[in-house]
Amino acid sequence: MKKIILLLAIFLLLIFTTITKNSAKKIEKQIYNSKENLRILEQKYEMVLLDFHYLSSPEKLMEYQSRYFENELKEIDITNLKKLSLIQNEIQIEQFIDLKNE
Amino acid sequence: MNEKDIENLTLESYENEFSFKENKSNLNISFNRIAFIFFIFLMVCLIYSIKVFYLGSLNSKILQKKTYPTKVNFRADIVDNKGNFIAKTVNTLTVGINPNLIINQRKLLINLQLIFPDKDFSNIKKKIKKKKYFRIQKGLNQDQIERLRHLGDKAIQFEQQITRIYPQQNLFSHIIGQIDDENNGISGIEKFFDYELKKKNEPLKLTVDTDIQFLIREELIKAQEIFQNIGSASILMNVNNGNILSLVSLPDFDLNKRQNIQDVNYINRATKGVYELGSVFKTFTFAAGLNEEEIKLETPFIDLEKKIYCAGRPIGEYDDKIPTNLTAEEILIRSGNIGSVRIGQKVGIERFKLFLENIGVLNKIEFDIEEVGQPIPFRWGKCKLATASFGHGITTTPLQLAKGYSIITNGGYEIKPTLIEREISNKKEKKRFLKEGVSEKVNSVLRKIVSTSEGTAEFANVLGYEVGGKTGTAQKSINGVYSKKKVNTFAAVFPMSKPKYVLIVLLDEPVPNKEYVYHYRDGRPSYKGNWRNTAGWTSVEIAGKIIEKIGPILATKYIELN
Repeated sequence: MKKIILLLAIFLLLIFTTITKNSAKKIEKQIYNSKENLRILEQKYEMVLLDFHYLSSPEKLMEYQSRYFENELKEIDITNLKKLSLIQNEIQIEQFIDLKNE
Repeated sequence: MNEKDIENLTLESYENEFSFKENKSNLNISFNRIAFIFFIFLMVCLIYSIKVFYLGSLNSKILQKKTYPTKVNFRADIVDNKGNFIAKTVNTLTVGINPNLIINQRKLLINLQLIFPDKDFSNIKKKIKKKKYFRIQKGLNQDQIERLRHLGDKAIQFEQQITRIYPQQNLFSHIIGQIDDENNGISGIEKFFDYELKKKNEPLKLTVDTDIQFLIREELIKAQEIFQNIGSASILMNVNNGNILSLVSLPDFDLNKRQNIQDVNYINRATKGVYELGSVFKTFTFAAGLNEEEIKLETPFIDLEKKIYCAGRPIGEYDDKIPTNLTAEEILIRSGNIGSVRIGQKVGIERFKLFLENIGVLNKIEFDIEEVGQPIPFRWGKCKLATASFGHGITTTPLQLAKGYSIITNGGYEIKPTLIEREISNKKEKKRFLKEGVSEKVNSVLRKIVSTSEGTAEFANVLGYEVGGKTGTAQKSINGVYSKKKVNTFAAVFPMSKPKYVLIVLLDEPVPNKEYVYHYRDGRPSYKGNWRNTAGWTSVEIAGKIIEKIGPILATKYIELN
């Protein structure tokens, strides 16, 4: 009886080992594929980012501004800017720039 | 002979011939020699052991320097302080031809001519005859790669290479520098941080801001159109930590075009250009006087001469309207030459020299690029002290001027100008060169130079930014002789109640523009027809325009939230 139990245990362990090994192999393959996909996506992302940085560079933005938004965008005088702060549930409006030293 | 006779004979001969003597002296010499050699070896071992222990105990820079694994075809990107690309590496394919593998030369050349119609094929034919591998085209596009692969010719070979792309084109040319075909940095940041760029995974982050750099460059280009100057430079630096937000030098060049520039007019004026900067040095003389407690703001200087002579050479005022009685503060506000000489004389050669050394304007500066100028050395004497007090006969670079003004206005704390964003360590206490209260006094006077009508820089009085600063107009020395050409500089600091930024604007050889309309900032009517070639009418005007443009960004983007 003991021998049968021992053989059965060995047999079961063999099966479990095989299953685990196969699963590990599958997971390894999936990890490899994911890494490769990620690498390609990263490369694409870097290229898109480069495009974005080029297209949104100050020189390009000025070009778009003069071409499309000439009358819509205007400079704001910093002395006209205000700061909003929430103090004890009340909104307080202050000058953005302190003009007392001017 | 019987047996008895033989015995006697032997004994006799033994007694007569054998005699052993120990040669003591010889043995002694050998021992001393061995001991001497052993001693020498011992000493050598001892010296080396001490050296090894000494080196082991040192915090070696080599050991501290991180080592990175070797990478092929790699160069880290360079980004600005907000992570925008300044330099980006892109992997590209290069096509070459191995002439030894060509089967049908005529067919190959026809096919290549279809793909690269602009190439000079007579040159390619010559190269094929040499029977050595050569490259035809770098940075192939996808269409070219596919068409070349479809040819299926073994002689066509592809190489993986890297190409550096600079999306901001000219904007950072003097900072970034260039690389050669073998991925080696040859100038600027690319050269100075060559090792790190080749080995490090993360991008190299700079302190510069692309938006600010662009706006300043635009204003300098406009200045060039107005004042016809041959070049210009500008530096915007944080006075408290030395971080450089912008460093522009004109003329500049497009990094993507990889030009080999030999023209000296293309030098980096901000760091490499060594100039006599004139009256901007008076601030240092004034600060030295306050620091050495030789003057106070209200110290009177009575009966100041209109002209003095030193070694037979006259020193006069640039403006005859300057009164003869002035306080120390008024001397700086009205930019008095003779008054500054008197302050300098009170400080004395040794203390003035040490002061200039401490604030970093006298000796070559350590910086993050190799293109750094060396201030021209000179022998100190009474006349040199007099001229140096008002900024003549003494040279430095605009970068060092920015450093000097930072130290003077930040409370006197040492800073190191840098282009690289580094983690700030609070462990080290900063050296302080100025006594308590000196900075505040200098700052109040710098503010008056811009905010009062007696000052020389009212065009920079931009509302909301509390601008202070000092102008400097200097004659340009060409081959050791002063010419009529000028170098006009303005060193601005703002906001003066709590200084945060220093802005240096230098125009090289500007010419007054009589058609240019000046708009006074205090509401006076506009003015046209200026003939004065001084910093107040050139560099200050440009600095005012720059602060107007970059001020909102600095005030909102770099705001310190409590």
